[in-house]
Formats: sequence, structure tokens, C-alpha cells
Amino acid sequence: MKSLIKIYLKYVVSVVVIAFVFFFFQILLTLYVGVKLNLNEGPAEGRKVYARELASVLESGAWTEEQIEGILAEAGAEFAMVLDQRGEVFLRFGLPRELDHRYDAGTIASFARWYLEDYPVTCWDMNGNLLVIGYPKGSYWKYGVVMTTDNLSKYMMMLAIGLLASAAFTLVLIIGFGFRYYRKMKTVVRAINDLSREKAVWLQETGTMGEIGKSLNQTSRILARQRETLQRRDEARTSWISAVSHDIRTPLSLIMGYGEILEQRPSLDEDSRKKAGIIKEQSLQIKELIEDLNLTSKLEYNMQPLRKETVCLSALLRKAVAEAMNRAEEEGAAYPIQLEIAQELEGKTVQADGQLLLRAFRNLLNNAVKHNPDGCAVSVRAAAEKEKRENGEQMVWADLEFYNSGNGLPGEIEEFINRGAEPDSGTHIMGLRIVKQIILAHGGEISARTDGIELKIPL
Amino acid sequence: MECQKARILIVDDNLELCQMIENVLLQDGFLRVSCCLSCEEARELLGESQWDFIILDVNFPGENGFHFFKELKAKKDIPVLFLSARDRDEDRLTGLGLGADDYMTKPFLPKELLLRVKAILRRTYRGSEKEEEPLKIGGREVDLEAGVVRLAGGLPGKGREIPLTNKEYQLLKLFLENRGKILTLDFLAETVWGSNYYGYENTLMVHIRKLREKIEENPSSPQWLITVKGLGYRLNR
Repeated sequence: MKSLIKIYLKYVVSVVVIAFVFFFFQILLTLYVGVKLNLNEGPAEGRKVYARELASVLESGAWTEEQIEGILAEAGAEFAMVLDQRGEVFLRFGLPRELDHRYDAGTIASFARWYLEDYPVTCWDMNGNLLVIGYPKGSYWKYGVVMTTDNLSKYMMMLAIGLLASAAFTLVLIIGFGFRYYRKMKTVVRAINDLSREKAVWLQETGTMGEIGKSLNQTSRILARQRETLQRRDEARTSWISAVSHDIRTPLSLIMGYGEILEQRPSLDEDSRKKAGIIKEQSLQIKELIEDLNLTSKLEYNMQPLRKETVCLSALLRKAVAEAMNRAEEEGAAYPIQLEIAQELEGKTVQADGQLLLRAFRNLLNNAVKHNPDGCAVSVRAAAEKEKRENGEQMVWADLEFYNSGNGLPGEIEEFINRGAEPDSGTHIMGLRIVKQIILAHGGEISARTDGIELKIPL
Repeated sequence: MECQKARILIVDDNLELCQMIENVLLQDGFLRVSCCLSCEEARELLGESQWDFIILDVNFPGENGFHFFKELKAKKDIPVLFLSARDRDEDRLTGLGLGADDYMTKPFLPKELLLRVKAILRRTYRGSEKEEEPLKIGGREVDLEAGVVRLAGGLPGKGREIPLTNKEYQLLKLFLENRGKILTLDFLAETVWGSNYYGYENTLMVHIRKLREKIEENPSSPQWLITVKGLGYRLNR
């Protein structure tokens, strides 16, 4: 969701930037056009040029009708006249009849500023006489602005406030529209998050996001179907393994039982008895294997519910070590076990499946014995460990180390434990696989080095 | 009644397995062993004559051994050992919860089956059994029935009896039942003080020391009740 908020903010910022760029561009354009028209080729300036030219020609006294008409035509004017100081017309060029009369001061003041009978005119002072050049009706637009400076500053202020208000309104619109899309996108993003957590989702299939909603709904349906298929397959596999391991028990009982009976029959010769003993031993191994297979398949597909209870880790460790030591005495070879439990772990309990954890500890201790027939020193160390997570959470782990001075773990098995790489089919790792599954099922961590295994169980 | 004279009935739907168990029991000296392949047959046999022990499977075609056991338990009090291919904890707990004397899973070693059958028979018919061998720790005898440690011959104060306190009795019983094995601090404390045993380690040490005074020649350097550092204690054989 954080990234979505970022996207939303970025959108708002970019739209605001675009609006500003647009606004400044408009102002620049207006200024440019205004300057171009008004200062260089503006109509007022142009008219003044013609008026000056005409006035100087008339003042010089040496002019002809054609010359004047030429200038007027060039200026695009319709007529020209010169009034004397009393307001009488004493020179006229193309002057319409209705305008050919005396003008009093009031009329002159009026048309000098505005229009003469709708003709836009330009006036020019010619040594006390007034040169009036008339242009065709509607060809010019004249407007005079008169304002008190007080009003002008008020007007500017109003303009500025208006500008700010409209900018604020635009910003609200941008944020508002953005928020609407943010909300819609949020449901989509939430749906995608849910999908990645294997939850089913349903979105509206109408509106702007309808198409996205539709395809997400479809994805959800497909995933659900796949999950179901996978689960059914896993269940089938697990129950198949469970059934096989059940059915094999009775025949195996017979093999094992008769193996033992023959091993102890005094009438048999030594060699046959030994062989019968091997039959018994090997069927015991098969028994262990199928039990492991059953457990591992249940753990793999989460069909083994954890029977959680309050478990004291130090007591469990002592139990496993005591068992191993009791058994090691029968094995003959020397497997001294050094057990160190840190004081802070004493009496600490966890909610866990005690039987499974005990199974994991047993497997680890048994491995040391199984793979080192000549004996080895085993060291079990347990301590509590605090870890500060990135998100500030404090995790407390029970850190359990099972090391031995024996032949060491093969590289392949280290790989399997640390990176989950499946070893070649020749390597027997059922015991450690179960350990790994049990520890992971308890939310723990497992790591391997050459001389042993380290477990971390959350406290 | 002697163990060997007990009448034992094996109920399992696999004929070969029945025969093997019968064989094993007969070989070991049991005299009266029979087997049958279904609960139906078992009902008939139980009606006909007196039985002292039943080895019972759980899975029968069309019938469930647990069900049969419940029905049986309601009528007669015969010790039963379940011998089943079901190895889930639930099944074990169901079987024992119904009141069976033991629950074994297949495949099994005949020797273990024999030991368990005999243990149950001893437990059930103890009264009529002959005197047990006295339990000996070095030159001392332990009489659990009387709750005393008796000084045997060759020692000063021969025949003197040292009484055991309740806790010492419980501890010594545990050690004798698991002789030669290491018993963890937790196991000992939990058995004597119950599930909330944390903090009893020091009390346990005190009781062990008192116990040593009663069974050891030289309690400060014990020969029999040995401390296994960090783990617990062991009563040497």
C-alpha cells in the first residue's frame, strides 16, 4: 500500500507541475504577442506615423491631392480633414458630406478620445490646427482606461486573489480525482496482495476498474482450483503412503518375528543364527524407514497436526540426551555426551509438539552414533538468544547446537539443510529431513556445518 | 497362579501372525494358548471357557477391536494387550484410554511381546505369585512393600531396618524400576511433585542426599546412586 500512496503523491505533484507550466507558458505567450503587436507594429503607433507624415507634408505647403490620397490609402484611412482653431474645416480629403461642418470644442474633445460618428479617428496637432484622419467604421477598436490608483491596486488585488482561488480549486480537483483513483487502485492492490497470500478475492466487474477486476477474479478462481487439485493430490499421496505403511506392518511382523525366533533357536548352527539376526536387524530398519516415510510425508503436506502443549525445552533436551546415553551404553563404542544448558533457558517453556521436538533431538543424537561406529564426542549446547529484527520486533530464540567430533556431515547434506538442495538419491537423509520439517513447522530455523547442526526455536 | 499356566487368547485376522505368536508363547513355556481370527469367534470362545489374557488386534474386516474391547470390558475383567498396525498416537491413546493394559504396534519383536505379556500377568495376578527376589543394592536389601532398607549380612548392624520417607520411597522405586538408566532431574521431580515441578531441583538434591545416607556405605562418594552432571541420577546395577 505504501507504494500506492507514493504513486498517488507523484501523480498529484506532476499534475500540479503541468498546470504551472501551462500557466506560465500562457503568460509568456500573451506577453510576447502583446509586445509584438503593441510596440512594433501596434495600430496606435502605426497611425501616429502616418499622422506625423501627413502633418509634415501638409505643413510644408508643397503637396498635391494625389500625394495626400496616396498616404491615406497606404494608411488604410478613409478620409482626412484639418480644423482651424475655431473648429472650421479648412482642408478636406474624401470627407463624407455629413461630417463637413464646424466642430465645437466639446465635440472635438469627445471624438479625439472616442469616435467621430462611429469613424475611428486619429488626431494630430498641426501648429494649433487639428489634423483628423478618419478610418473606416469598425476597423479599429478604441478603449480608454481611467481609474483611480486606489481602485487599480484593488483591482490588481482582486485579480491576484481570483488567481489564487482558482489555483486552489484546481488543486482540490486534482487531489480529489486522484484520491478517487487511489481508492479504486487500493482495492485492486489489496486483491493482488490477497492473491499472493493464497486468499480468494472478488472485485466488482463494472466501472473503470472492471476489466482489471474481472481478470483478477478469474486469476483467483484459477488459483483456487489449482490449490484444490494440489491439495487433493497431496492428500492422496499421503494417505497412499499411510496405507502402504499400514499394510506392510503385518508381513514385516512375521519377517521380524521369525528372524528373531530363528536367531535364538539353539538347534541352529551359529552361521544360520547370525543370518537370521541380520534378517531381524534389517526388518527393524525397514520399520524405521516406513515410519519415517509416513511422518515425513505427513509433515511435508501439513497433514500432521502439531499437538501443541507447554513444553520445557531444557527438560526435553535432558530427556533426549539421557536416552541417548542409556542407549550408548549398550552400543559398546564410546559416545560421551557433553550437555550444557544456559541458566537463562532453564524452566523456559514453549508451545510446541513435544513428541515431535523430542523426535528431532533424538534423530540428531542418533545420527552421531549411527554415522560414527568408532565412537565420537558429542556436544549439545543450549542458550537463549535475542535478536533485533529489522522492523524493530524483538525475537527471542532458543539456540540449540548439536555438534560431534565424528566424521562430519557430507557436503551434500549441508547443502540440503542450508539451501534445501535435494541430494542424489543415494544419500539417506530421511532422519535430517524430518528434523528440518519439524523445526520449520515450529517456526524455527535450522543450519548445518561440517561438525553438526544448529537449531533455533522461537521462545 | 504361575504365569505359564495362564490361558491366553490371541485374536488377529492374520492366521500366520496368530500362529507365530502362539509359537513364541508356547516356546517360552506357556501351556495354554489359543488363537482365533475374528471378534465373532472370540465371543464364542470367551463364552465357552475361562481366559486369563487376551492379545487383541484393532483392525478386523467389518469390526473394530476397540468396539469389541468395550463390550468385553463391560462383562469381564480380563487383561488385554492391543497389538495393532495402527501406530498413530490417537489410536494408542484410545486403546489405553479404554482401559487396556498395554498397546503395542506392529511390527514388533516377539521378545518384547513376551516381556510385556509377562509384566501384565505379574501385575494382575501378583497376590498368588511366589515371593519375588529381594532387591539388592550392594550389601543392602530394599523391601518396597515395607518401605524399608535392610542391612544384609557382613555389615555391622546386620538386619537393621532403615525406614524410608514417602518421597524417598517414590524416588527409590523409580530408580529400581529403571535400574542402570539415567533418570533426568525433570522426570524425577515431575513424578514426585507433579507437573509444576520447576524450582524443585534443590529439594530433589536434598532428598537424594538423604536417600544416599540410607543406601550408600559412604554417602559422600556414592557407589550406587550416581550423579550424572547436568542431566540427573542413575542407580547402578
